[in-house]
Amino acid sequence: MHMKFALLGACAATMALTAPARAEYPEEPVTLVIPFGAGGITDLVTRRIAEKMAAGLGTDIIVENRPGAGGTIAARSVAESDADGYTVFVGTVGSQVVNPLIRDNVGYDPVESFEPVGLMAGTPFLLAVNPGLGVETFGDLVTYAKEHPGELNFGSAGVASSPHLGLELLKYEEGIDIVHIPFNSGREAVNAAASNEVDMTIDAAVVIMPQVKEGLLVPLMLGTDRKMVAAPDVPTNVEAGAPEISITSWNGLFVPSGTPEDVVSTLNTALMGALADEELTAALEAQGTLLFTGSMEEYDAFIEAERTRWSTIVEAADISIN
Amino acid sequence: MGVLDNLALGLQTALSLQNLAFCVFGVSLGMAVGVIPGLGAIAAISMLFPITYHLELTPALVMLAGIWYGSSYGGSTASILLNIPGTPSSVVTCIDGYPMGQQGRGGVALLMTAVASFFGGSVGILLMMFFGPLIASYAREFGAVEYFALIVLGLVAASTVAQGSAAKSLAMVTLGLIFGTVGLDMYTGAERLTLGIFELSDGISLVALAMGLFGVSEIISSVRQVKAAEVGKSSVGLRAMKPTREDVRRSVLPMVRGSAIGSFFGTLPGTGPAISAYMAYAIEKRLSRRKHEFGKGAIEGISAPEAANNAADQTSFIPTLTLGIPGSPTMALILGALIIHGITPGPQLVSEQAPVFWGLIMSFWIGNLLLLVLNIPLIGVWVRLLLLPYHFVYPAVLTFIAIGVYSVNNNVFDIQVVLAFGALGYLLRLLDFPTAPVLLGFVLGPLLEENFRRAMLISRGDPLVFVQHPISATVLALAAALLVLGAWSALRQTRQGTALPTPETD
Amino acid sequence: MQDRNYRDMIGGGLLVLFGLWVAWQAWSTLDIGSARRMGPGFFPLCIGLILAGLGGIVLAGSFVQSAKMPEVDLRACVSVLASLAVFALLLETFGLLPAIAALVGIASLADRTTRARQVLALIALLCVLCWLVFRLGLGMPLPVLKWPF
Repeated sequence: MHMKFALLGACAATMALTAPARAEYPEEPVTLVIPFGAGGITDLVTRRIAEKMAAGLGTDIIVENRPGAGGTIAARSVAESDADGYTVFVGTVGSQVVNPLIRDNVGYDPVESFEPVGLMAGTPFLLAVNPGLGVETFGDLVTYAKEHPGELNFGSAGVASSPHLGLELLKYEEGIDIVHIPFNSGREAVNAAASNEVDMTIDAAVVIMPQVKEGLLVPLMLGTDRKMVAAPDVPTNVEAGAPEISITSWNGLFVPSGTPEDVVSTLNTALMGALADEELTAALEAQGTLLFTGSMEEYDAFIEAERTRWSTIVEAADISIN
Repeated sequence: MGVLDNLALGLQTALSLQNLAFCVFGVSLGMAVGVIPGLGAIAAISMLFPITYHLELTPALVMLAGIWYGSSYGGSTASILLNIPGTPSSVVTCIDGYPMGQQGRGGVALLMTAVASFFGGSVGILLMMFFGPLIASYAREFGAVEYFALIVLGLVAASTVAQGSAAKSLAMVTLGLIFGTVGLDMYTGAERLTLGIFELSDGISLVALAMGLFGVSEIISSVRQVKAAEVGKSSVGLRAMKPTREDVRRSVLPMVRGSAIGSFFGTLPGTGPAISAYMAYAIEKRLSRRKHEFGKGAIEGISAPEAANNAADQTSFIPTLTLGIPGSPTMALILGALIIHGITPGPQLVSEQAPVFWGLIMSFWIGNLLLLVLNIPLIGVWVRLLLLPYHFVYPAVLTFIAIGVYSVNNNVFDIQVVLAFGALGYLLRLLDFPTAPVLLGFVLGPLLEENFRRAMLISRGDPLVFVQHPISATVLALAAALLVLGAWSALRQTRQGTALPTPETD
Repeated sequence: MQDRNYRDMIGGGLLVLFGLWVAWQAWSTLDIGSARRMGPGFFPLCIGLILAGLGGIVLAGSFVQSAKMPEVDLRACVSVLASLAVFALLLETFGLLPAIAALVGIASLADRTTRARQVLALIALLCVLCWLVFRLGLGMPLPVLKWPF
């Protein structure tokens, strides 16, 4: 009798101890942390995708905005959270590549602290100039810049923003000298270019094309090799003869390193399911955002390539935030 | 399309059941969060933002906008009754509103601020309706040079707000300037005065600073002194709310001037209702023949700023909708709502999205009217709540301040900022320094520096550019004239033997 | 003059010190540049010096005037500030309700006339109210009650 009870007790104890490991993930709602405030492009794209992901994941997804320090505050807080798959980070080129390069004390390592789940979306950027410049093609712009070094003004969304990095990339690859004028946001920079306070700028199609429609800006080139529905007549970087000028603001899902593989895999499956949704793809593409459809290896390779590329540029341009 | 057609279209849209419901909800919630210190439009809009994904554009905008301008209606309530600003835009209302409350004229103050808010809001809406696109095209002409000149003018005009020693006032403006520089430098990315604290890279939050400096410090000061229940309970019955003829007469011009100032500053990105209210107060005081009454319950001291902040609320939609440049973080959220629905802000918005634009405008009318009407009976309700024994009220206010401030960035650091500024505010009070000018320096300082440096960058270091641009030259000349005038009148006062302000003895 | 204005002396003195500190920070850690090509340190340096100057004026004035020293309500100051600090500490670890309870409890210490019963009632009321408004109503992503051990 006592033996039976003892055995039963032992079994129960064993089950209780191992139960957490066997429990189905996810049991609770999953939180997606966005490193920017509500209403920005990252926020929008993430929320749309999260909606579709929740169905595939079988649980609620809570989207939380944790802005600050260019995304570093959110990155840090997720890197330090439990690696149980319930806190997922929406990493961007800023948080995963650029900030650790330019800031001294980010408090996390982009490679060591995180494990990628999958790439979500990318918004390619466009290069546009004020019509008063009299330049019609990218080639013309480079010629003009070489003839007038240090005269042209470029408006960006701020130091170390994607547009700024795009400018530095341009200067590096084409060997031209253009003065950087930072603004508080992309829209301010684009408006400044449209009103001729600065000569040129880089930003997303969503921001640039309305000005183009009003005749206030001339788009010269896409920062990608894929044609864009949102900017149909604008040449790609390959077509413009500058294939190395690739500027895309991308984001992807990351979890703290040490998260169990099956959890990561579950998240990845749900993400892939959401990204395959045709309605979503069409809606986002109309706004100039492209969903990624690659494998994990392609994802890893892409981020590594970005890291290599931007560290060269950052060093060459001596950008730092300390 | 003629204006009348647009109005009809707008009315049709605004009066749909759905839009009307969201309007009512929005303004009510806005007013409620405005009344509660610490909780403001930004907190409410941030938290409700996800809902806008599931709504159509017009009801979403109507609701968010209602919260936005509704909060300026409610903000003055706590200012008048508790000397704690309900929102940053009501900070200056404390200066004359609270004394009015203490004098048993709380009801009148509450009513007049509601009326002034409606007046200002109406002016703002009218400007949006008739001059919206025009103003937008003018805003396009404004570059860094022009903005710099305008900010200089603003600083010069507003430098006479507080009573007492001029050195102390200016010192506080300068202190505000210093707090404004905390954070990453826009042009080089260098960290300024952040002491290595990461969360300070983006600067100090306005709400946290205002709530700490004005709210928490007020609580500390008043905890053992104020028996709010004894003061003015009888003064808020409906009869007691009736302003005298004198009150109305004295308020008309201030409301007009306040609306003008608010409408103007609302259209400048980076400035908003808070600074508009401040400017209106300062200019009113400068122009008044009753300067000495300001700070002691002068009705102009609440009519002008309250008209200004509501006018600014409305006109700040102009740059947001037609240029896509939000004047404040809250506007950025509203802009986000537009973008979610695939609407790109820009000059084409007014014509391409006519139903949305005009529907929104008509909903502004409905909302403002609703707020005016709602405010009157609600005055009694708020008063009864806020005049509960102070030892119930202040912990509640502290709780809301803490939660409200946290909710903006989901970061406890902001609560610590409130704490720090609360301590600072208390210290400043003890040392007899006026705290309101800190706000002026804090908001305008960064704008001043940013625009100066951008102007210099673009002109490659040529300072003559400020005189070469016609608008800037005119504005700077005006500022210089004001400075000279101010100095001359100060000199005259000294010569005529008018006593220099002496430090107040407690 | 017999009496000095010690209040303004302290005030002016603090401003001078703070202004100088800001100016020193700017000078030692930032690039100053010139008036035409302002570095990040130029503006802070200037306004730090201006603040120190204004503080000096206040300080100078304090030697020839007299004023009463203000009463410091230390109990109120410490309890209100501590309540906020504890709230910030508890909020994310233990959740909203314990944080509110702590805040109200500690802040109530500022007013000696508050009785324990009233404090408890207020805590209960605020907890319910905040839960309704923030959690249910506005959907704030904040834990209500957590036990982190």
